[in-house]
Amino acid sequence: MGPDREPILTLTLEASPEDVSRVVQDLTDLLGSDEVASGRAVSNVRIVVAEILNNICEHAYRGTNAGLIHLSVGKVTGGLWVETSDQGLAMPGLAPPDPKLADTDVDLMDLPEGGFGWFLIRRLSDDLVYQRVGDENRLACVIPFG
Amino acid sequence: MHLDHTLSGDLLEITVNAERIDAASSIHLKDQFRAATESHSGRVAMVMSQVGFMDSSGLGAMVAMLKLLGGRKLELIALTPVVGKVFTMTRMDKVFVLHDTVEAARSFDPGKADAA
Repeated sequence: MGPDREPILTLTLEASPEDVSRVVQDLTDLLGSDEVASGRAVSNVRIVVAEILNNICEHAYRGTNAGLIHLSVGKVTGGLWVETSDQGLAMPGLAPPDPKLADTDVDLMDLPEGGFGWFLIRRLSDDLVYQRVGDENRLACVIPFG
Repeated sequence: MHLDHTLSGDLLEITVNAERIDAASSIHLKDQFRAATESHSGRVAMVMSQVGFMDSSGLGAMVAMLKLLGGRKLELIALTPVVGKVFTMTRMDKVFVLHDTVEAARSFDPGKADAA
C-alpha cells in the first residue's frame, strides 16, 4: 500500500486474545458507522483481521501476551486494505502458510482442531504480502467486502 | 460468556450467551460445555443465535466439544451469517448437524437422518 493512502484506523494493541477481540469489535463498529462500508457485509474483514492478529499472538509472540502489534486499515474500492507489523518471531520459511483444507471425511476423533486460520485468510483476502524487515514482521493484504 | 441449558425430552439444548466465540473465550466455553454435558447421554444441541462472530480458535473449540461427546454428533441451532460462513468455508458444516430453529431440532429424528 502506498503512503498516500490515508488510513481510517491506526492503532497499537497488545498481543493478547482479549485485545484482539476488542479491536476486531471496535473495527466492526467503526465500519458500521462508515458511509462507504455501512450496509456492506464486513464479515470478511472481521474474519481476516481476527485471524491475522491471532496468528501474531500465537506464533510471532508464542502466546506470551508480551508484545505489541501495529494495525492500520484503510479503504480501497469494494473493500479495505490492512497492514500489520510486529516484533515477534519471523514466519517459518519467511512466507505466510498456505494450508490445504483439512479432510473432514475422517473419524470424528481425528478431526483437526486447528489450522483453519491461514486457510480463511488466504481465501478471503487478495494481494497478500509478507516482509521481514530487520526484527519486524510486516503483513499487508486487501480484503474485499463479502 | 455463560451457557444456559434446558432439557427437552432427550435433547439437551445449550444456549450460548455470547456475542463472540474467539481466542479470548473459547477455552472458557469448552470448560462450561464439559460441565453441562458430562452427565447427559442423549442428544446435545447448541443454540447459536446470539453468536455473531466466531474465529478459527472458536471453530477449533467447537470441534473439541464435539469430541467430548464421545462419538455422538453435536447439533447446532440458528447459526448467524458470519458463523455459518466460517463453518461452510472450512466444510465443517458437514461434520456438525445444523438446524435453522429450535423447533426443527426438537422434531429432528437422528435415526431417520442416519438411514437416509
